[in-house]
This record gives sequence, C-alpha cells and structure tokens, in this order.
Amino acid sequence: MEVISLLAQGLLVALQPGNLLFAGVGVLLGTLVGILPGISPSLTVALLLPITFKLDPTGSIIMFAGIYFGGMYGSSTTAILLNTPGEAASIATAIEGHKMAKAGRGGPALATAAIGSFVAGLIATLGISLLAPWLVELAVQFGPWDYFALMVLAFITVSATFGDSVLRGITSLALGLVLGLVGIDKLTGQSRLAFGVPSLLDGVSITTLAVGLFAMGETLFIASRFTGVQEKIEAVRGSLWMTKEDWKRSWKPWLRGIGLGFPIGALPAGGAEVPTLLSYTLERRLAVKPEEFGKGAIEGVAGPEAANNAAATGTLVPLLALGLPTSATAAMMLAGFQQYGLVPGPLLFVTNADLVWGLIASFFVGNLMLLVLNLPLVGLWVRLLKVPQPWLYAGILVFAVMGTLAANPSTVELIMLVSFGICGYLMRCWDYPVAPMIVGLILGPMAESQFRRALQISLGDGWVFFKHGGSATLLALALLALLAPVVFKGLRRFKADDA
Amino acid sequence: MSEQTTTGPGRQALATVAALLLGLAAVIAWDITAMAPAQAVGVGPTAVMRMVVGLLLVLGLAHAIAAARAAPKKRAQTTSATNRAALGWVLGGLVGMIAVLQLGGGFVMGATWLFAATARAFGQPLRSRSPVIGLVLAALVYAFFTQALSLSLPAGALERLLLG
Repeated sequence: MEVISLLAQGLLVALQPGNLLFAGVGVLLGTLVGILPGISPSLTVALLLPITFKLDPTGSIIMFAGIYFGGMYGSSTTAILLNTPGEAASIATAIEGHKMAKAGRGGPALATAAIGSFVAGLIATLGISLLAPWLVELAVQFGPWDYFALMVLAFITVSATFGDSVLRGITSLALGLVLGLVGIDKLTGQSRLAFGVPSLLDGVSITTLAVGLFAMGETLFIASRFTGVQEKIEAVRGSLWMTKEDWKRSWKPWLRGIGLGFPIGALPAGGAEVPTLLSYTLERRLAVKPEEFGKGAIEGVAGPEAANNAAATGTLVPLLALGLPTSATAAMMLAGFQQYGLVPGPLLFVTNADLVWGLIASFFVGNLMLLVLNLPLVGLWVRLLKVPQPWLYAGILVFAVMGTLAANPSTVELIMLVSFGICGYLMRCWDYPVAPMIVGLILGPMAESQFRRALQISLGDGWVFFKHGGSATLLALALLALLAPVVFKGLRRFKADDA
Repeated sequence: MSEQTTTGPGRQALATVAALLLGLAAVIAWDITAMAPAQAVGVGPTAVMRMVVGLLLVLGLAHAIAAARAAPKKRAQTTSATNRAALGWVLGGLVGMIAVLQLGGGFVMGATWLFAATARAFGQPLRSRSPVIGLVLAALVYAFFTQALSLSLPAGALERLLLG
C-alpha cells in the first residue's frame, strides 16, 4: 500500500522533536485561547496566525493544526461549563453538556467530548489519508471550468446551509466577493476598487477580515449587551473519569457521529454545524433512556462532539486535495498556507509531499497530545474561564490589534480592522452569518481566475461551462442547492426549538 | 452570549442593508467606468466586477422588497437592550488607538488606552487597575513580538525608552 508508506514517512516528519514541540505548543495555545468564552476555533487560528510568521513552513503548519484541534477542544469545554458555545457546531454539545455539568457530571462530559474527539480525529485522519490521494488523482483531470463550477457549488452550499436565511447568507457571500475584488488584478495588473489608496493595492487580508468580524464584532456585540452581570460557571464536581456505563453509552454515538461528520465535512458543502445537529437528533431517537435527553444525556455530548471533530477534519480533504476551503476555519488554514506561498491542491501533494503527509500525520500526534495534555489539565483550563469580562475582552482587542499590526504595520490596515468590526457587529445584530463572507473573500479571487482561464481556453465561449459533463453536473447541483433549501427546513425548525 | 436570539433584521435594518448594497453596487459600477477596456482574448478584469454588481443589485432589490413587506418593528424592543455607553467606549478605544499610532505615539501607549477603554466598557473605572494591567500587557506583548519573533510593531518614544 502506497498510502501506508507515505503516512509512515509523514509520521517520521511529525515525530521529529522540533515538530513534536510545535504540535504540543500549538495544542496548548489553541486550548488556551479557544477556551476563552466567545472565541471560536476559527478566531483562535486567526489570532494566533502571526505567531507562526517566522517559523519554517512544515513546523508552523503543524503548529497550526495543533492550534485548530486545541481551539475546538477549548470551545467544547466552554460550551459544557459555561453554556456559551463559541461556534454553531458546539450548540448541540452545550444543550446536554451543560445540563450534565449542572448535575455534577461535568467531568464525564468533558471526558467523553475529549475521547470522542480523539477517536473521531483518528478515524477521520485515516479517512483523509485514503480519500485525499484518490481525490488528487481525480483533480488532476479537472479543467478550469470544473474548478469554477466546484467553487460555485461551494459558494452556494456555504451560504445557503449556514444560518437561517438564503438571502442573508448570499448577501454575506456577496460582501466577501466584493472585498475579494479589491487590489491589483493578477492577470492584467489593473487596480480595482483601490481608490488610489496604496495599502489597498495588495488586496484585503483574510486575517484582518476574520479578526475584525469575529473578535471585534463579538466584543462590540457583547459590550452592547453588557448589563454588569458575570456569567455563571459550573464547577467540575465529582469524578473526572467516565464510569463503565458512560463508556458503554458513549462508544456507539462516537462512531455514529463520525459516520455523519466525516462525509458531510468532506463534501464541498462543508461546515460542522449540520452533522452535529443531525447527530444530536439521531442520538435522541436511538437513546436507550430518551427521558434523559434535555436533562444531561451523555449520548448527546458524545455523538455531536465526535461529529464535530470528524467534520472539521473532513473539511481538510477538499482543502488539501483541491485547495477549496469550505468553512471559516478552513479559510484561515488556507491563509496560513498562503503566507508561505504554498497553494494547497493536487500539485502540493507532488511538490511538498513531505509537508502534506507530515501535516496529516501530525493530526494523529496532535489529537493524542490533546488527550494527554488536556484531560489532566482540566482544572487549569477551568480557571481560565473565570477571567473577568473586562480583562478578557480588553485583552482580546489588544491581541487582535497586535496581530493585525504585526502582519502589516499601517494605520490603513487598522482602520479596515475596525470597519470590519463594525460590519461584524451589525451582521451579528441583524443575524447575518459571517462565515460566507470569509469564504467569499478567499475563494472569490480563485473562482475568478478559473473563470477567466476557462473563457480564455474556450476563446470567450460562455457555453464552455455547460459543455463538459463534470462542470455541468456541478453547476446543476449548485442550482439545486440554491432552489431546495426546503430540505434543510426541518433541521432549522429543530434548531429554533432547542438553540 | 449566543443565547441572545436575534429574530432577523427588522424593517429599518432591511431598508438600511438594501440602501448599502445598492450604494456598493453604484461604487463598483463607477470604478468599472474608470478602467481601461478589456483585451482581446477571454474576459478582462471588469467582467467579474459586472457580475458582482448584478448580484448586489438583485440582493439590494430583494432586501428592499423584504423591507416593504415586513411589519414595522416596535422600536422599544430593539433598542432597549443596546448598551450605547459600552459600545461607545469600545469604539472610542479603537479610534483612540488609531489616533495614537497616527501621531507616532507607538504601540504600547495606544494599546494601553485601548485596554483601559475596553475595560471601562465592561464596568472597570478608568482610574482603577486597568491602565496598569494594560500597560504591562502591552509592554510584554511588544517585547515578545519584537524581540522573540522579530516582527515589527509601531514604535514610539516609550518603546525606544524601554528597549533602546
């Protein structure tokens, strides 16, 4: 098996002491930041991006993966102990997990989340190693028209499935596309929407947008709702460990969660929100003790957490094999690659095989470290939750500004950051999803260059997108995804009931 | 935090968004006219801009229609929850930071002000510990980033005094 030997080679890269250290530091930092209330995994990655600027590509991307997994684990800890899910994908965890913590079973809830995420990470990483090379082989035969159609499909699914309204989702996407236009056109060198401001010629930085929308927007939103009351944290009481019964009730939901999470994450539909909610519904249906649901059923934590991690790992399949980010976090990962001039996609598997397989192997290592480091350290992490709000948000803003200035020390960049913050605040108030905007910014220019390349090859014939079977099918799927959000209506109604 | 369920934009918000989207479309359209014509093969840099303008027009009209259909929301409901003072302090902190940097005050001074102003928004009086904590944090961050990671952050008089 070629995959096995490649993976073994990757493990050798990941197990080098230096890289092991990067993975460990990443996991710790990711948990540290991700556990702070209101900070989602994608924001964790955005805030910590500047720290990796000066490292070598392999080490920093491995650290990145660690940050990502740590951030996700931190986010679920906050959901369980504070009932404030940092992201939509943790909503299901918060429902049952917080009830468990209230009932004095916070330890087992955290444990089943951690072990479930670990198992999910392992199996999903195995899934990547099997699926990605196959996808790469397929992708080599893709023409620009196929890529363009695939990106259109990703646009539609990302903006139509996130959030509640197709109109608001697409509006958010459109704003991202507009920002993607800013700067020098790569094919002709003409400047677009720069209005004579030199700093705008380089385009809008994805980190600035993400930090502005998430960190600034969130802080402004919390400030505008501030009433002077600190949230209540559930202390972790009783045993930290899972009982035999907990294990028995957890392992099947883990596996089912993985089964739901990985395929949905790996599709260009992306996002971990849908599979976690599906997993929650499924576990509630299959539960041996359905009466416990809503009062702290361990299945309701085990399933969604496994689904969340499997889906998040799954989104790395299109990212690594096609260069297609389908979630805000994947978009941030892509930004991380781009700072080294690396373009994820079929080519990367050939030119930087060491890096790709080292990264995939480091997922194993990172997940293991997460388990080893985080379960014993849970007491320390809980203390972090007690940081008083004034210091917490003041600190977040200082770090956000610092990260932006470290990437580009100019006042214009800072003004953009604040503008995005206000934009994020308004979007938060009016219930517009922000993830499509980020995906639009990073994917928009890529889609444009494929679009123009396709038209150059076809000598300006617009039918080129419908003449090829692959792209025609993908575009038809995109149309279907746009016209049939009715399918998700049941899911949305469920969310309105419980969230 | 995420518990505050917003029930989507109200009538005013929809109308505002519609106006913003249409305005944005107009700005891009104006930018297109200022650009050189496309080259011979394929499509030029304006083609996708035109598509985005079209998309913005459709979305703007859709918002306008939604606004016209929406029932006017009771103002009291939407505004009573907003803590304008806190919002003002955070924004003031950010604007102050930009001003300090623009005037060459350096990162540490700006960040200290940002920290204290944000803490003020969340109920810590300006005269309490917050400026001190902010100063220490900003100085540590500055030292770590410039010395350990050799990244550059805007320096002012204070930074030169601290690190020579």
